[in-house]
Order: sequence, then structure tokens, then C-alpha cells
Amino acid sequence: MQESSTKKIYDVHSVFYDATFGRLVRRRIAQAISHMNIKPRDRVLDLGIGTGVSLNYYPQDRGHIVGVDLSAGMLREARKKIREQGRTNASVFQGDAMRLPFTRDTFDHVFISHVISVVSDPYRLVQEAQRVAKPGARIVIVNHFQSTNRFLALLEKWLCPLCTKLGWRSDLALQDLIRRTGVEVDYRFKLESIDLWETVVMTNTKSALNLGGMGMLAV
Amino acid sequence: MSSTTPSHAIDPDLLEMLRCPLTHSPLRAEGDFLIAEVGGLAYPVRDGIPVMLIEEAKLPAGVESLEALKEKLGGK
Repeated sequence: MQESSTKKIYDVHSVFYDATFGRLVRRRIAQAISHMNIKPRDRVLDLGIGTGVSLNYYPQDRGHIVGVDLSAGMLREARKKIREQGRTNASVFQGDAMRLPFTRDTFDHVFISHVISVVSDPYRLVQEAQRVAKPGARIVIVNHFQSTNRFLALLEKWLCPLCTKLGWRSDLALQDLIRRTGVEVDYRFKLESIDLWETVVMTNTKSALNLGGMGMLAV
Repeated sequence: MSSTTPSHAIDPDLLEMLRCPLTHSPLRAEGDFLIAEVGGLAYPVRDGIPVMLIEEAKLPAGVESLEALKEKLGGK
């Protein structure tokens, strides 16, 4: 299963992650969080919080941050940061982003940063995010989406074998995600004109979800 | 660092929003576990971090496998 191998890779890399890949994502994360407008009593779900790079950018005095990650190794690093920062508004849970351990309509914001393409079913991940987010909640995704520019698409194809080492693939098109999950994109932006990553800000409409017909098992 | 340090009591607000990922039922805290009301899967709290993964949960007494539990629940 893809999740178990991803979990293993991240467990091993957790210590080195912040110094390498983590550096590259800081700016994007800071920027994305600034677009959330977190209010005092808001609940924020950080899906795939990893080592907690994002914890450096969430407000300390408002909102409650709930971090979820598949890797226990990553979460230990995240919890270390929570303690070092003296944060009282953050908690972490080990969990599978495709089977979230939360009740529906819980969160005011869901942040999905650099994680959507490392899971085996990105559509299901977004549907889970829609389920646990309140109607009208903001879902912010920072991710690489397949480029519509032919030159960049080729470059991505060339880079891909390296990226798959980190469980990163570049065959996910944003349009497919929108079509299959029914999310409503408010706006999207890149930090630079040529940036392989993109921040997409969405509103949770729940339009494509069949929440009424949920059976006994969440399978 | 895998010693069994006692888990901190989980915040009631957080417990209220937590659900069993298999059955979506509420959970109750009992020692170092969070136990699902439906199905009875017991999710361990390790080093203070709740492990909400179905495969890592302890099966209720008398159930020999996850498959058997799913069958029992699905058959209702």
C-alpha cells in the first residue's frame, strides 16, 4: 500500500526534513496561512502537518490548530515545536487523511499543504476535508498541480523520478480535482511566475458530497 | 522512547469532535486508550499522541480480526 511506504519514508526523513525540503516550503506556507483570517474561536485542521513547519506561522493567541499526520516520527517533531513555542492552542493526532477521525462540520479552516499528491487517492482526501469542514469553511491547498504549460509539464516529467522518492507525483490536475469533488475555487496564486507549487483557496460547498447516505462503516 | 508514559487527559472539547475513523462513532477515554462507542476499537494514546489509525487499534474482546469486526458491524 502506498500509505505504508510513505509513512516509512517520512518516519526516516523526519529529522532531516526541516533542514532540506522544509526550507523550500516555508514561504508558501506562511503566505497561505496569512490568507486564512483565523478568528479567536476558529478551529483549524492542518492535514499532513508533518514536522509542524506551519506552526511557526499560525497565530498563538487565536484559533485552535489540530494537526494530523500519518507518521509518528513527524508528529514527535511537531509536538516538540508546540512545546518549544509554549503553544496552548495546538494539538496533534496520528491519523489517515483519507479516514479522518473527526465528526462532520467541525473545522472553520482546513489547510492541506504539500500532501495531496502523496496519498493514493487525492479526491478522497479532499472529500474527507469537505466532510469535516463546516459549510462555508475555507479549504486552502498548497500543492503542485500538473502544469498546463507544455514546457513546464515536460520539466515536471523529467523531475518526477526524483520526486517520487518523496512520494510526490505530478499527474494531478486541478481541474479534475474540482470536477470530481465539487469544491469551489475562490482564487489561486503562485509565489513567482514560474513556481511548480500553487496555493488554491476554496470554499467548502459540500455540493458533491452525499452526506445523507452515510452508512454504518466509513469505508 | 517507546516507554508507556501515562497519557495526558485529553481535552473534553477535542474528545467531543474526535470520532472512530471506522464507524464515525464517538469515543470515550479509558486509561491510555480512546474507545469507540460502536465497534469498540481501542485507539492507543502513545507518548501523549492519540493514534487514530484503524490498523493500530486494539480489537474488542472476542473479535479475532478487523475483517470480522467489519463484517459484524456491516451486517447489522
